[in-house]
Amino acid sequence: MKPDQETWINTVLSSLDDLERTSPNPFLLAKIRHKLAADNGMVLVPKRTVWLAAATFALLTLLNWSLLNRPATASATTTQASIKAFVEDMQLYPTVPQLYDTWNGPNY
Amino acid sequence: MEPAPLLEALQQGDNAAFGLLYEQTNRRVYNTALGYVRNREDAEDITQEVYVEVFRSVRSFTGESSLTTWLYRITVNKSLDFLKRRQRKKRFAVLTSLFTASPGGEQLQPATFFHPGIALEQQENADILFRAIDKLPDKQKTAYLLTRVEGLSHIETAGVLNTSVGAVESLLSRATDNLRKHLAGYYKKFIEP
Repeated sequence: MKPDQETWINTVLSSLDDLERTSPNPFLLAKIRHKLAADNGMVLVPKRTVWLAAATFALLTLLNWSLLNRPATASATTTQASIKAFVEDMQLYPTVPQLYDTWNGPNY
Repeated sequence: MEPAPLLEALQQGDNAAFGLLYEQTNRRVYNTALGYVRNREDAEDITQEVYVEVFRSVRSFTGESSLTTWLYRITVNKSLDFLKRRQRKKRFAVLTSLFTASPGGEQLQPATFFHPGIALEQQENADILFRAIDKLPDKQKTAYLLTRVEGLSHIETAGVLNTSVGAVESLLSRATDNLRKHLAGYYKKFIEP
């Protein structure tokens, strides 16, 4: 390394030797107090609560979506079968003669 | 007020104690931040963030280190976070400038910085040195700024960095070597020809 270069580098490195601390804006404390007062009025919800609420909402949405997309035929068949079983258990047969198709089911 | 009663008063939310802490320490916090960001307004924003953080989390401060060390630690973290944010913005600005006619990252590049605490004849050299410090890795930069700019001892710096004195000395040695390399490059490029 050349002597001139070495001298210059040492001069630059020592340029902070006599540095004095300076003060910030004199109104900074007032600004900080104002910010703290403004923040105190704000209700902060913990992050955990926010995540729990979001997860619950997502789960409910998913459940609703899955219920809405369930095949309709399966539920209709189940409902018809349960009604038929209920009718048979309780013997809820019509007392008034009704017209039925002779070839399609019992004619009470 | 002694440190222990001051801490107790702060933990009880005493506004006068907070004002006293600010009066005693604001120059340290501001100057440390100024060394990192090389811009007065940004350094004031960081100082504000530091004291808001102090006010909010002083109740959880257990006193395992001194109040000043804790304050320096918050300042260093906030300053490094600020630099990361600025770097991200710069990258984004460069990216958007590819698609628009805006000038891009140059706008976020700090202009020539004259530190208010440095003698006039040293301002130019100090600006060159601060630019070189800016290129150092985070830990080396912190060790260098705390010892050479803030004037902390190696023991105090080790406390802030939560490391050993030996590690601080090693960081300082590497930082000085890297600064010499940067400055040698600068000399060849701008001074010598």
